[in-house]
Amino acid sequence: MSSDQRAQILEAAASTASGVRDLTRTLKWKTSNVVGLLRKMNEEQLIEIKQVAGSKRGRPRKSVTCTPLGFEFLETYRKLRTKPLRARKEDLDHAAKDAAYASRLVANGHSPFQIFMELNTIARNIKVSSQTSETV
Amino acid sequence: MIIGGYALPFYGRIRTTVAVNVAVAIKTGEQLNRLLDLLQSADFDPTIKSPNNPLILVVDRKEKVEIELWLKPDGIVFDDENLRRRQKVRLDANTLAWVVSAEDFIVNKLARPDRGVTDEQDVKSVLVRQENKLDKQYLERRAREAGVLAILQTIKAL
Repeated sequence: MSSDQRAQILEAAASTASGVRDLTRTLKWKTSNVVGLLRKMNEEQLIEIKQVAGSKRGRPRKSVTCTPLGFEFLETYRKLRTKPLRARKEDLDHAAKDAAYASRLVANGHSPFQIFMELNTIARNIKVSSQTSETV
Repeated sequence: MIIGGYALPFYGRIRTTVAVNVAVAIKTGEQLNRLLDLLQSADFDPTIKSPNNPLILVVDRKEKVEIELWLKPDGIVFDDENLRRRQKVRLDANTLAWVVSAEDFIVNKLARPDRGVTDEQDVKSVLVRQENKLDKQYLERRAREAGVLAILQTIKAL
């Protein structure tokens, strides 16, 4: 089950208090698929399925509502979908050059992880010594 | 398995990072307690410890390093495929560790709610360095499932 499917169901459930049949109609998916997905999302506590009191005839009607966790999921999903690229083309070009440099190191028999650890240790030591001098 | 900045030198560029990020497939409170006991016996100090919290912060008391244990890493689904694709790497002469696959690394970086320039640069560097090694179908499927396929295609194209 994908995040897209979860979000589509949550969007539909959040817009109106919907029954399973309403959701199937809105989403235009197979009923068996929707029921399976709803069951999973109910387990994940993204939605709440409640039996609706009302007509005594036929199969009892169930309503699907978004839980607070469901709303949170939907909000994060929307943010992610609409979040534009942060990096500029120059930033990505710079990263591509760094990657080519790492490839050359590997080709020359160096371990990128070892170099990374050396670099990280130097950076950490600088940070620690600058913090120490600030305290003094 | 290792995710984030410490996994990056295996697939992409080399850059410094402060945080050590580790993805841990823990499903029950009992498993979590066992992990916490192990950590404490090895002089690690777990701070937030709930199975409902996606993140556990652990402080290495000896080295004074903070480690982030992710129970639900962004965009990563712990399944057979994900675990089969992880890589066993040598960190030093005595230490072997699992590292997330390059494809899952990319999706994890892009699915972060706080994704920034550095994350996108990391992804670009992996796309460049692993160009012919990536399983493109798997990557696209995982990116689609995490809702980040469009941003991945944009980074690829630029």
